[in-house]
Amino acid sequence: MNLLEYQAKALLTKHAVPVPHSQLIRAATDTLSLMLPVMLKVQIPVGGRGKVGGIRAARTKTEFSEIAADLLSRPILGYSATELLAEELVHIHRELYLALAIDRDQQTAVLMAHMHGGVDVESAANDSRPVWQRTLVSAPKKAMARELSTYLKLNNTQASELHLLLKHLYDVFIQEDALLVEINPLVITDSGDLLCADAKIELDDAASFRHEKDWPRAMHSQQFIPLVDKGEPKQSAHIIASMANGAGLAMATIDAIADAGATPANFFDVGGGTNTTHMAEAFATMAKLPGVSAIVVNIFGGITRCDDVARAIITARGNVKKLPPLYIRLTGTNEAEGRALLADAGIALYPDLKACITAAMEVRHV
Amino acid sequence: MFDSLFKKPGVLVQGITGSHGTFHTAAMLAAGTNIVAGVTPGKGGQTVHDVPVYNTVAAAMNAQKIAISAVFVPAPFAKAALIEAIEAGVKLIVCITEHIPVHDMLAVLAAAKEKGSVILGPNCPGLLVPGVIKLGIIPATVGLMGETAIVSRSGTLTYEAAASLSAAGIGQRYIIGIGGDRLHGLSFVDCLTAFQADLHVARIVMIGEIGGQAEQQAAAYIKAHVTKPVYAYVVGHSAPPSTQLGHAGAIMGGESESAAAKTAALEAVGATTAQSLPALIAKLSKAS
Repeated sequence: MNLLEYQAKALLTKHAVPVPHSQLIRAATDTLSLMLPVMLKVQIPVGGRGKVGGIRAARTKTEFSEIAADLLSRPILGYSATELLAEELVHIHRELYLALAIDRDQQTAVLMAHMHGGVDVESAANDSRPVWQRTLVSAPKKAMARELSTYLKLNNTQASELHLLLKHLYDVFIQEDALLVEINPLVITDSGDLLCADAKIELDDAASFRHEKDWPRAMHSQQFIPLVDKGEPKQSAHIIASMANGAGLAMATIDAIADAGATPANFFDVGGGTNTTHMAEAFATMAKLPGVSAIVVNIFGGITRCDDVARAIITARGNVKKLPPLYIRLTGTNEAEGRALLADAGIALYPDLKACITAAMEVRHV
Repeated sequence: MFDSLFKKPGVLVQGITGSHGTFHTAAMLAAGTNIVAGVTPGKGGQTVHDVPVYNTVAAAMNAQKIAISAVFVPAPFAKAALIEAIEAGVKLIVCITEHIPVHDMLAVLAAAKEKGSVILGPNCPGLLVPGVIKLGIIPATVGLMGETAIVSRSGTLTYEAAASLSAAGIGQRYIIGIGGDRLHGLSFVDCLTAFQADLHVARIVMIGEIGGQAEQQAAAYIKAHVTKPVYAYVVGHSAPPSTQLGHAGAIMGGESESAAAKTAALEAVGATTAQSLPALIAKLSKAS
């Protein structure tokens, strides 16, 4: 789960990490409690908003209302924001980059830093300029903070501030089950203080069982991912929705749909256990995607049992209006039981994925 | 590495009294696996399909000769279960459980490294040696005894690959799903090492995914060490960038993590590649 900036900063504040004074704005008519001027930052789950006018300064009350109204009224980078973050103006002396992340290959936590933070740090990282990186097995020690301070060219006061900051960021990383805590930029202000001007935090969805109370509600569910949207021109005569059990099979299914010359409408991994409600919701969402002419269901049961899937399909089919035709492939654990149930319900089955897609593409698009 | 699988090793099932544990214990027994014990805290003294259940791994190890554990413990309790097996000295731990937090796996993998345990998974379907042993949830019906070794990050594609090969009359020595999480134990390179060393393996099928660098590392290893034919498919050609597609590990960061880049890297070291699994199986069938 990727947090929005204001959610990330709320977690930072909870762990005593310094961030600018701010106020969440939900409407242009909200009363501003901060001193003018303020920066208004649109809250969307992707980077690059500054380059397209998603971060703007307001010097007067009138400007504040106008900019707030504008940022809340139109999509930015494809997202319609419902929140803005108003922040006090930060007087920037230098911009640095700091991140705690998981190194997949080394299977460890790492602390990374860069002399030059800011909007273009990713392209900067591709330069040969050094990126400072150390493995973390426990909270950063004083020696590590001192070493990093030397690399970042901080003075003695800032070096002690950095050590404290690193310890607090490590608390966020571990206690909040974060996969990424990225501070970009970490600002040295004109008065010499360290301040986290922007933050990106990704939390581990798998750890939600131990954070039910303190985590923000998930903003963007990642299980069902639409791949077509209403704004885009139609790419092909056949737009095919799909579901499969297992992420790999679901990806292979959309690959095969694209290979056959049709447009995959979505990605959906129905998961290991089969839940009738989830399946009905997925069918309903698919039926609403623009131009979908068919739904391919590709199930190879391992831990998933075919008879459970069959029951879920039958129930879900009955509950969803205007459902496009289903093309189902069902094999694996409890296959015979699953096939019998679908046969009784008068639902046809296809021997493999290719046969499903071929049949789905024979449907004339209306 | 896998030699011991052919010597009827004693297998422990952790989480044996749960619904998945019970169901798949029956399936593993039917496939010839020598399950000698189960563990569920508080359920010691019961039996599941005539397999004795113990409260702790240590108690099970005292009572039975155990080399391998298959773990079906729910994610919130998986870290403790895995560390318990590692500390009790289980050499091979097959972890089926999905959705284990990353910070938990960091601790588990560090403990496994220290004690010399090998972890297969988590979030994996396990391992099937057709006609010999089944550890995990790969349906035994997909397998046929033979000389092909399959290794895959995806569970269901593992079944798909094996079933397609079997239908074409091409049998398998090993069918292994290493799991789709960001952090996992046994890697592509570990499996390629074992396959290259195994005289009964004639060819290798490898199924990769978008995200991470594991396929590039496999390609480097193939270039340096693998002389057997490798057939590779990388899933996710239609995946949008920076979007996580189900598997926690399947999120495409940079361009090098795309299916196209990984396929190119594998092709450059002599692997036969294809854009879909059926196309790959067709190429393999023609060559065999």
